[in-house]
Amino acid sequence: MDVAKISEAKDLQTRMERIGAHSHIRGLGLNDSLEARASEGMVGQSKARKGVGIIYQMIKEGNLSGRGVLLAGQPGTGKTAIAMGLAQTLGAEAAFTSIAASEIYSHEMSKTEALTQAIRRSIAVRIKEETEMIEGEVIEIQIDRPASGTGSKSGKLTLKTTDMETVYDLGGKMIDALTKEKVTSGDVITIDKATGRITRLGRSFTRSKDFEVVGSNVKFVQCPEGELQKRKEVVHTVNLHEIDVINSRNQGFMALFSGDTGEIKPEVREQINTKVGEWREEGKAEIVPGVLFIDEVHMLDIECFSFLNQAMENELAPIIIMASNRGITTIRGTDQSSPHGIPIDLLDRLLIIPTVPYSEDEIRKILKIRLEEEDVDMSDDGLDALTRLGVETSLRYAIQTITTSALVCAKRKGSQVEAQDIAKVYSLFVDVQRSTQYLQEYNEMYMFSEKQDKSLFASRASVPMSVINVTLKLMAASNKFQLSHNRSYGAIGSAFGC
Amino acid sequence: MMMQQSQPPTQPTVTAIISGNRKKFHTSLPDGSESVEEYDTSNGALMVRKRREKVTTASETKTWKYEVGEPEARMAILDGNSQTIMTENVNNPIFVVQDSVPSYVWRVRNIFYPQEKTYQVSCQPRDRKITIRTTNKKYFKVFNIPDMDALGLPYEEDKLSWSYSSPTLIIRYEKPPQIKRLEEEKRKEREKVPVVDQENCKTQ
Repeated sequence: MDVAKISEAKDLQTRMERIGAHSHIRGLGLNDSLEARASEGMVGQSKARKGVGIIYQMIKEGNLSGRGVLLAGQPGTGKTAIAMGLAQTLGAEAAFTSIAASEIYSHEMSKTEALTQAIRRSIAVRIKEETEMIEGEVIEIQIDRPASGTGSKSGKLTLKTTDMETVYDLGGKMIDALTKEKVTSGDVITIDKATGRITRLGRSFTRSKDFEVVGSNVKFVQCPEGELQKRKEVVHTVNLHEIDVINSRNQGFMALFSGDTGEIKPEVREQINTKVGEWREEGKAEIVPGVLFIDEVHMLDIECFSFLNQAMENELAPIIIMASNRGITTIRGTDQSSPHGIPIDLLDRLLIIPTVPYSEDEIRKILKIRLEEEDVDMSDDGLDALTRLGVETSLRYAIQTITTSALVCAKRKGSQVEAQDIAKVYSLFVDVQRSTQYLQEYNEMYMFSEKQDKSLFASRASVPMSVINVTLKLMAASNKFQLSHNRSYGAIGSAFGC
Repeated sequence: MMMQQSQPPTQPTVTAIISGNRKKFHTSLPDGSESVEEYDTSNGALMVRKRREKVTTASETKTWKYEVGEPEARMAILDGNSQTIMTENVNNPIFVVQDSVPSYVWRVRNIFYPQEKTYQVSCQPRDRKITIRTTNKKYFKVFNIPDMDALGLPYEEDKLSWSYSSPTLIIRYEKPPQIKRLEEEKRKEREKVPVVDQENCKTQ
């Protein structure tokens, strides 16, 4: 009994969506002349957004294939947010595939196969089909069951439009389908003439009464006009990978749902390419190049990069957007270092869009948006403190502080999150800088510290000078940190001014 | 089931036969589609014209599309095993395209609404459409004249006439002189096609 009550209560509640790191992003926030505004959840990065806006137009025009874009910038400067914004602006129909570069390493599939699948997932084929259908409002369904209780049922269905009315004889299967779809008189339905499939469009307006009890998901539609039988153009959008899977002989289309596609033979892909080419020539299908977004692109190794080099030259290639937060670093799988961990030859084919650190004002705006998204009420003092935290530690740390400080505030039964809550959270959770400093300080007390020290000394020659400089700086700062550890929040800014 | 498709001809090939009081012409077009025309031998009126698209795979069967004449069956929806799951009820009106030498004819058969004023037949020259309406909102049909659309000839309201004698509504549209001339030329050409002697036709 109790269980039933709980489930009922849950049904009444509006279903809550979970809030992700980028759920406040609803688009690129550009106006028609590609000027960046603070809208659709986007703040700052106006140059980068403008750049991506131009890429968006390139995608929309659709006749350029295989272009590459690199979003490069420090961590937490909105690279992924910009890519998500682009995906939102492109809309649901465009093929936008987002992968993290580490996803391609798998025991079941070679790296290049995983990349090929991702590339082919990003190219959509729009197939146009003209079907004949019967569209009308149901006036009456009459079902005759045989007196004996067994045997085939028969029945009549009366459909009308605003201009005409027709009676149809029904077979057993059609009656079952109508019962299954719960079609009643007053519903507006379509019946596909080729397959007999029934689709309920909604209830007719003429049947809506003032006091009728209807669920929230009942849609009211106009009664159709003209003839009952109509020709309608139906558009399906599938991506090349889906076509590949369906046609790879040993798998069948069920593999699409299990995800267990394995490797697809290049012969199959070649055949599909020629077939799609034929459709395109006949005017049956249209190719819609999409976007492949590879996050953390420096995690790809040299083989993948050389594969991408070649794959981007294919005329059926999507626009590839990559994001990396690395500076000059080694290319995975080699000893060579290169900017962003990407070989120079590939880098040369990319349009590079830099993202820059946010200013204090921008950080405040972003935090404000996040406060709204996470439904947290914060005082101006609190927001000031949080902004300072964002400037001095990192934006991500500040964002993570929002919910935790809201919980602290709830604990003390406060109505608004104040600076004191944020200070409390700051003392409970250390940020990256403090954590690093702490470890530097007390390294010898941790396990295996000796051994690591030795290895550090052994490889000192290969450590770049800059790293050592930073380490020294941090070591110097750690003394200050000791002092500031117990101070109130307001003094922290000066403590980190080193 | 034919395993091998015969090569489609490069030019339309026409075969003519006489069966009963009908003269039938079968035309194979280069794109693999076929058309059949049947003429009354007594007055030369077109009785049936149907087309069928090319059959590309063995499992596929393309049905004849009637442009003129009465199809044998009513609209039906079939399931995977070609079993009928839904048909139009026999009491519904049937719309038939017909042809006569002086005019285009359409008949709505099996239509029982009594008073003549129930029916409204009108021509919309701008939309190139002819519309049948009923004031009781039971029957509605929009159609066009493909031959006139092909030549881009204008529709004229006063060429349209209609009459009702239970249970059939007959609509006529007088053919314009250009169409009449064209059909006369086609008729002369048709007479040149040799008629296959059915007596000597080998049975397989």
